[in-house]
Amino acid sequence: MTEAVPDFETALATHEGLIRRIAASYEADGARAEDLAQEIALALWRALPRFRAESSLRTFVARIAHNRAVAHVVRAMRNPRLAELDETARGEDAGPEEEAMTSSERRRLLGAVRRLPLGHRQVVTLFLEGFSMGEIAETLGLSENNAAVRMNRARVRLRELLGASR
Amino acid sequence: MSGTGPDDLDRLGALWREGGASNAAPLLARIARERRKQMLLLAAEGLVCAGGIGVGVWLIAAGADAVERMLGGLALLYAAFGAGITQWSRTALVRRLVRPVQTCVGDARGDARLVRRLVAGGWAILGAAVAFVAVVVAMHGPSRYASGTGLAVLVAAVLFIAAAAWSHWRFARRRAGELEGILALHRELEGGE
Repeated sequence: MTEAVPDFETALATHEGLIRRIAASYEADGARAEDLAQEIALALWRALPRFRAESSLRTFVARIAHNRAVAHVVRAMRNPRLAELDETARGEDAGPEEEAMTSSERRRLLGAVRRLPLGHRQVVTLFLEGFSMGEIAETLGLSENNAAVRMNRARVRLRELLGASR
Repeated sequence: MSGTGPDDLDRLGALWREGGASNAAPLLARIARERRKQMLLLAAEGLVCAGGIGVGVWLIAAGADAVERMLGGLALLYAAFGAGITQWSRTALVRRLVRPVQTCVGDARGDARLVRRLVAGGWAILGAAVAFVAVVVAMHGPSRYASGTGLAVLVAAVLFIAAAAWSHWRFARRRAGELEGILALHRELEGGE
């Protein structure tokens, strides 16, 4: 797949939703999720010159988003006050991405995704974004088989979580 | 919510992709702020590096004896080390960002080892520089550094050491801390899978 290197503004405009949704899946607090989305955008700005069109731009952006989000989780682990894994913490300070998720269905889905273990959350968010199993494997650095196994486990867990929150 | 089972993931995917409000303004504003901050940081790091090279070359040329000239050599060495470590750090950061997630964590493991060595090496060179300044002052006596060229040598050496220490501390705190954190997360992920 070949793709010309786009300028940053174009790349951001095309993939902003993807960035915000991945950020929201890692961070329950609206303001911090917005901050994480900004950090991902910043990382994209830094890394875009290295885009070699060996994969699609979408895969490239998703990789950066997940890598940056992992660093965010690391910071949260180092500072328990920032515990991002508290999926129940939907406060009144909801950011734009949370504001948009007005439907209870979407909120429940996001809540369930946040409660998944990190490895499962990564495959599920990409799957929900419409990535093929090959693209998920490429983004996460897994074999396609491994990604499929992880997705199956994540699917079972997601079903339980969605059922439990009904 | 009917049919919430993930067997209809296509429907959930469509629902999922409806989220994510589009508001690029704060993102672009943050990028603009960060660009300015990076330019300032680059200028500060450039000053430290150029200062180190300047102090080093000047001491080598104008040092009163071999000991002062060695101090200049040490300043040059640390300036080169600092410039190298900063550049490597930037490259490694971007390289990790664009790698597949699992590989990136693996990379962090290798980088963490190197960072630990670089940080230790940096503190060792810095410690040697501080000790060397003390030895130089003790050898020549305080009167040599009370005024004139001697005072200029001392002030330049102290300023450079302070700036280099700040730069090195910043690197050690941010990079080493981040990498250690990624490794801790990796261990947790491995345990949880």
